[in-house]
Amino acid sequence: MIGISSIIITFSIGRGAEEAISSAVLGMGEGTIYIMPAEFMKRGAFRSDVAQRTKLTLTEMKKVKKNSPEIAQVTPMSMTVQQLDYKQKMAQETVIGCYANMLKVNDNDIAIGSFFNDYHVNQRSNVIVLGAKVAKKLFNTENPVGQIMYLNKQPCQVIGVLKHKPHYWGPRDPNDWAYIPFTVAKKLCRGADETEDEVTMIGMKPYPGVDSEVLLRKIKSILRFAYGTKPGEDDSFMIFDQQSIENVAREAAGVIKLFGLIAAAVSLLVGSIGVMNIMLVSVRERTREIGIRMAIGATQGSIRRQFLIESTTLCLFGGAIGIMLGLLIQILISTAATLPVVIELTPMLISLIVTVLIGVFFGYYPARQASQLNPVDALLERI
Amino acid sequence: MALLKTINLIKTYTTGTKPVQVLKDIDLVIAPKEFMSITGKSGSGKTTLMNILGCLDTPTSGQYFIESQDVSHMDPDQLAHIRNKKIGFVFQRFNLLQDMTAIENVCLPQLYAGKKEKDAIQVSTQFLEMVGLSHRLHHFPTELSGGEQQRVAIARALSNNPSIILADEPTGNLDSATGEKILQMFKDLNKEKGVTIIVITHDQHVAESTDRIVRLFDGKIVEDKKLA
Repeated sequence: MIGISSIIITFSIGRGAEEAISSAVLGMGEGTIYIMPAEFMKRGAFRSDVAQRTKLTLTEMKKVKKNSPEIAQVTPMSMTVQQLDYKQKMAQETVIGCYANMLKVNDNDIAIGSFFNDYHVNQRSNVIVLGAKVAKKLFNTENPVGQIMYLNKQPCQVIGVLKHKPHYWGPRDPNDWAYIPFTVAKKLCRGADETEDEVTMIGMKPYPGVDSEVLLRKIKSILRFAYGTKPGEDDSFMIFDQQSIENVAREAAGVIKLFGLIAAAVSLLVGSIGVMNIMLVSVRERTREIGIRMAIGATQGSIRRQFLIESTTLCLFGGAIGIMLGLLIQILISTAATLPVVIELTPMLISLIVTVLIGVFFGYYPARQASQLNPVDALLERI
Repeated sequence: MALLKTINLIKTYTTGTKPVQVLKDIDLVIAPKEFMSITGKSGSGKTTLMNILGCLDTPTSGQYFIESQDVSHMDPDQLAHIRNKKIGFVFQRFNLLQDMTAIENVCLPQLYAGKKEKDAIQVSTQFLEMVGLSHRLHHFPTELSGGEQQRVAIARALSNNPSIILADEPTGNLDSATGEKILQMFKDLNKEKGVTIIVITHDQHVAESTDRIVRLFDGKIVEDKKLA
């Protein structure tokens, strides 16, 4: 029963995780590549000693763009956390300064209004485009488009709101982000030691059908050359592309699934031995019944059949409870972890088949024992 | 022609290293429609003899024929078929299946014989009516008195219309009045249906109510006396 629950839970959670990964990764933009300085992250956390980090600037971006005709869209991204105010409402959110082609890079869409254009970027216009959640947070039901709000205490006009993007994992919800022209970010949100052309990361999108492996290798060599990295030295930048992130995440989900399955297999084995034990005890306790049945004409075959049916029924019953329990726990976990609830038929069918097999396989030995009792001994319970 | 016939029947048990001969050269012939008893003190071998006559056990050597068929060397499943079709058992402990109702108990031998449930229920109802339990069809053994349980057991023994009924101390667990009734029922069955009835008992009174007494002592037949 526990084994069956584990199977259902593992399979379903695993599937849910995969779904989540797919949506999250697709949410990043199909085929999108992000480049950031190598020390930007260390052990998965953002570094605090800003002084030491290698700078990624517009110069590197231009070099990559110039030498890679495969790249369709490229934009610098300057990411900072800023205070956003509208009337009495206030929020601290990530603000991204970028070019007008940002939505083509991360595959997002405008829900209402419009995104800023090259004119806004060149003119350093104080315009802002809000993610779906931050718009809701600040404006609630009011239409934000056309309203004046404050970014870092400077007035900005909201010109658009983005569509809600699926997001499952991590503390950073892209729907909380706001977008402003790159030039405006440099004007309003520049840090003390930040240079005019420094970027947090570069986002780029290749043309469809471009071999991402080849492109990634090319970008890597362009950047190594640009930074003057010697052979054998580590890269001073990191490249994230959809495929590699997806692969890593899928691998992780696979490992989770595998461990779950091992746990399930162990509990199934324990459960099976339990079934065999129950049946052996049952045979022992019911020796007299077996003797009576034999006396009135039960053949060895019919005794064996009786006990096999019993062990299989026992297993099926346990399996059914297991499936229900598994589904329940899965729904609970999925709800708690905000994973999509994926109810899959395959693991249920597999589990049912497995339980029947266990019932037959581990019930066979006790059933055979029962059928081979000597009627006289069984009647007198002399075994 | 004999219904049952044993020739030089020997049964040996080995306890520890020493073989003990429980039955020694039993030659017994039982004719159809007999109403007889096998008697003797405990340890005389009467239960062992009954087990062999009932095909619950096999002899160590010698031959045993039922209706001229040699059953002494049959395999367990063949013996199961013989018990199912030709022999009905009535035990001292009743030996009803506790989680089945009276009628289900009576149906069971017929189901093992491959009869359809509907037909089995019809036949079983008739037998239960015959033993006077038409009002107890759907009662469980625990809800029945000893006498009633033994009557269910008799109905079950008759279930497949066997030619032989083997009754092992059938009155042993009953009070004397109820015991009398059960014995009377055997007598009537023997007369009206012509079923051969073999009662195994140590009770002299019970033995004397049958038509023939075979007395065992130390694994040998020491007396074979016709009363009627």
